[in-house]
Amino acid sequence: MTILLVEDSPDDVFFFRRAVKKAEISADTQVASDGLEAIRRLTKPDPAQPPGIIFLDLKLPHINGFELLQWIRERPELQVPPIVVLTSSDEPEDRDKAASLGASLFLTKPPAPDQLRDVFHKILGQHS
Amino acid sequence: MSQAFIPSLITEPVAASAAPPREIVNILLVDDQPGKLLAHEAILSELGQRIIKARNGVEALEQLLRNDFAVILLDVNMPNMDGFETAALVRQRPRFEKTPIIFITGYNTTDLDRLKGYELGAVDYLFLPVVPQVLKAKVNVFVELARQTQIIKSQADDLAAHNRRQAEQLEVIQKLNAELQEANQELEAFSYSVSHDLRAPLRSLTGYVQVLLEDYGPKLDSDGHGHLQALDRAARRMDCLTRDLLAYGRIAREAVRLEPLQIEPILQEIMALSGANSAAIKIQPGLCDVLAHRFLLEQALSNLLGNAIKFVPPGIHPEVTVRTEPRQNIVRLWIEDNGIGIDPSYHRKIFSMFERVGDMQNYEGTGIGLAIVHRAVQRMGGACGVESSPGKGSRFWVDLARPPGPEPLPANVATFSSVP
Repeated sequence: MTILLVEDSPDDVFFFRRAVKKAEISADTQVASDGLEAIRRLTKPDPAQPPGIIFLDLKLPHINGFELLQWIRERPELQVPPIVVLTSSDEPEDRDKAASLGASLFLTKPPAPDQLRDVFHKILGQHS
Repeated sequence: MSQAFIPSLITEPVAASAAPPREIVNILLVDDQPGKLLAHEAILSELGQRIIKARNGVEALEQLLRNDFAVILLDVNMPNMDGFETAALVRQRPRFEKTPIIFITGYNTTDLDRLKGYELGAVDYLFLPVVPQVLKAKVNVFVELARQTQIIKSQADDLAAHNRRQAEQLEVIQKLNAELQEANQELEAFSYSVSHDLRAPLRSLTGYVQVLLEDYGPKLDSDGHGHLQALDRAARRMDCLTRDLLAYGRIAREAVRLEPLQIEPILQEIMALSGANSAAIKIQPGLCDVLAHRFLLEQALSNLLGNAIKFVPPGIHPEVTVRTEPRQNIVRLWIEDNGIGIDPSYHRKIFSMFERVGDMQNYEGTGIGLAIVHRAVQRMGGACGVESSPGKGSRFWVDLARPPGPEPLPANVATFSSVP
């Protein structure tokens, strides 16, 4: 299982990897540090390790999370995996906007290991 | 800064509304005979106006170039350029198109001559020898007319100046408004960047403290643990402060739109998000709906609930009750706790920013929570307050409008409608 984490903050990448490890989720986390890199990875996914789930920060350089969601939404042919929004924003508007743009779930940073386990259970339960 | 503008914005009264000024106007006498000029001047001098004399058409035209005249008395029989010729030249100039001309002529003037005079714009004829009262009366009509015209013109000028001043003031106000709006937008942008840019490093700080405690905890002595915990508390407190300040700012600028809302789902969501012990909170079944703005109501309720749970004496389990009480046009929402209570002398003060009074100081908090409650409720057109005394718990209340529509009062609260 491959996770694509779209996150520009190295600290947050560290905390995310740590939480995944603590949750004992056997997954490999690949990181895209901005929206453009995420687009590159989504248009040409590694055939050996296509991402099974995306964790997306909203505040990103160049292309922000909302714009990336919009971009993905306009390209159903890419068959992008489920997206979990992971952000420091606790504004309900952001949550609603992300949901309306196709995000499956919304997590506030930093994610706790059991929250991550829940997310994997829900998402993979839905899609298995 | 903006006060400097206020004096200039005070509207000055329109000058023309004062008593009309006694304007002096000019009368032009044109005659080739000095004796007649003197005689007419003597008669007209009683009108108290300025009399200017010309002895022929050329002199008359020269005077007209220099002055405005209320009326021209023009002798018809003059050598070289007679009165009619002079009048024709006068009329050629747009400025004198409408200046009244009275021709002075002998009785031998034919009707045809007079017709010629009227065609040239004569307004009247006077026959020689002139009767002083008639001369005075006829000239006076035009003097008064010119004076009224001048007054109206000066009023119109004043009005125009006044309008100009008002337009200038409006421009100043609009400029100030634009500046204010710009400043507000900057402040909002600042708030937003505080929210994200300041909170992110704080999150890293608390995150790494956690990592240190988990991974290196066994290698630290109790002092080390203590220091890390102090670091963690400080960072979390700063995070709370930024969050509360942002919420307070957002409450102030949020566009308020009231809609009927159910209170219980909002309470459930707050409890779920805060991880509050829901067993400690009892919600009365069938809470009334209120007319409120969702974000503002959430902010008010989450702060009131948070306080109700937080301010309990050590060793006491918090017990919070939420209930509503329908009144005539409003719903009173009660949040009652078994906490430390508040001295009545502080009941007003606690709703201000950064006011932490009495025993509150022994509890964590930013001092912004109740200010958020107060402002949020105020913006929804409601009111809030507290009934409490030390050691007796607190009963916070929030009054909000009832949604319109048929919602009959339960029989047991019908008596409330008689309360003034």
